[in-house]
Amino acid sequence: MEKEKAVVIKNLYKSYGEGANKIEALKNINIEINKGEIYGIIGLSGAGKSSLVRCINLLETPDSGSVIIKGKDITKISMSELRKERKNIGMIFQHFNLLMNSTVYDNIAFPLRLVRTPKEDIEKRVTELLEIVGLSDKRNVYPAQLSGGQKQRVGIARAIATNPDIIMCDEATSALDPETTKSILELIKEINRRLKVTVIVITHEMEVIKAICDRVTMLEEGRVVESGGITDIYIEPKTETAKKFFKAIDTKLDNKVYKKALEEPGRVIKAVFKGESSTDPYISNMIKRFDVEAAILLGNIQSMENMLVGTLVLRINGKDTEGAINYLRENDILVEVLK
Amino acid sequence: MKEFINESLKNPEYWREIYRIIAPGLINTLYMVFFSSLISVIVGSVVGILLYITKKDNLLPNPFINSVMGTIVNIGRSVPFVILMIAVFPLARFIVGTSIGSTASIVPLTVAAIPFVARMTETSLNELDKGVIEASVSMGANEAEIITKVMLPEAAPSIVSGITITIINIIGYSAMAGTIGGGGLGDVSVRYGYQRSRTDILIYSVIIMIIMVQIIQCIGNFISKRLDKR
Repeated sequence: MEKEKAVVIKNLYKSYGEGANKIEALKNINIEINKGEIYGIIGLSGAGKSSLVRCINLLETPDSGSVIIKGKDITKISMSELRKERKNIGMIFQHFNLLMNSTVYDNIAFPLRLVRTPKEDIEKRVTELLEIVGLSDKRNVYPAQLSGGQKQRVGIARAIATNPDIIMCDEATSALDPETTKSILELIKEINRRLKVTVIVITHEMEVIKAICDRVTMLEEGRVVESGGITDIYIEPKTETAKKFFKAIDTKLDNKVYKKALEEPGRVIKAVFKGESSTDPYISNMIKRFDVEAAILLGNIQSMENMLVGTLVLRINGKDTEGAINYLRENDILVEVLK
Repeated sequence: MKEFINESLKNPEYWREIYRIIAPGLINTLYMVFFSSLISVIVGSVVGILLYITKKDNLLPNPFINSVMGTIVNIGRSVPFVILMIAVFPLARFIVGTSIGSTASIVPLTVAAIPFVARMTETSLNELDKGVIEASVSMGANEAEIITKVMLPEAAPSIVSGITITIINIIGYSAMAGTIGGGGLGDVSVRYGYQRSRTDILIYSVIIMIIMVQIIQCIGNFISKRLDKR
């Protein structure tokens, strides 16, 4: 079972310092990442996400717990085996971490040289990688002459050079502008699809998670507060952290205008439309059929995993408000009665 | 006096004499500087690398080795060269069989320069971006690969600047070694310039040393710049 997972993290603990200065960075982390998915780990700074990602390739040694990659617990293997294992996990960094005194070519060739790839094969592979990341014309340029986005493309090419099973992105887009972020995320997604590589994305930006992740874990103060598919968490967030991250409509409910509207007669509901239901005219059907009036108090539409999720807070007035609410529920619309 | 100087400057015999005195001195200086630079750069760089990687949170943390080496380097650096020179006479005698002459001078020059190079190298490595090292660890590089393929190439421009400064220092020290029987231009300056009041020879020696320093600084700057792609 565990062999089918790309990464399984079990009961992981990590602390820094000793005695009174001891800081528990990670507390009992349990995460299972499926092969081929893009898995997000989100949290504010200090939540422990960087420690967590560094525990996955053992750049940091966990205090206890295990990290199982392809069925093998890598916390229990020798240093030389670990080095081999690391070659199977590419890593992309926020600040790119390129060799500044080496050309783009040599930077990408670096991991290939570490595994003693023959020269002709390196030549071929690097050329291919440069094409994938769209930097064929920058082959002999030094990183200092590249823009942030281009540097990150070199970082990506380097990370996938040895055909790893897993790539980890540690705040890979946090130093980039929104436009560049978008293109880098697209590239990561394309690589995930084309190479069937498992991607672990660490970020503090919900936009990144929404754009590319299949599933997500939210970290807060070293603990997992919520895990699951991102639409599930968005639609039914269990914790305040999740609501905050998704900027869910609930966080806007204490808005003055909204509160005033609440005092007027009628029922107030929150309706979440996802997938198919987001494009069908359920609201107007409801109004016609049950002879009710509907006023939109708040609304928002998010796109996730190529799926639209709309949230509306409605005030319904009229004859058969109960019937109207039931009608929506029957059509797979998530309804929460607020008043 | 002026006429006398003018006369002698036109006299080929005068220049032959100067050449006869200065040339061996210059050759000895070059010989001392070359070998002590070579040895101290090799040994000092190794010590510098060890100082860096044995630091806390570095590649091979080892507080014991780090503090022992750090202390030795500090002691080496705090002893004035004149005293160090006399102190290592026995060592020079042991290694090269004599404590006078240019070959013997290589020993104190090297001993003095090693800790200097070590600190210089360590400082250069300290400037490295830790992220690049972390990236190479994450790619499965071993310690030797990280040192030779990441640390040294990345710190090369700064290390070359350090080596340039070291060589220039050694030139200065070599002159000092010359005053107590070490040979070279320092020896020439003292024996002719000071003891025989041949101010002209003193001046020529100094000019030659200034030119040497200039040339080395230029070469160092050139190489350092060529290596730096940032």
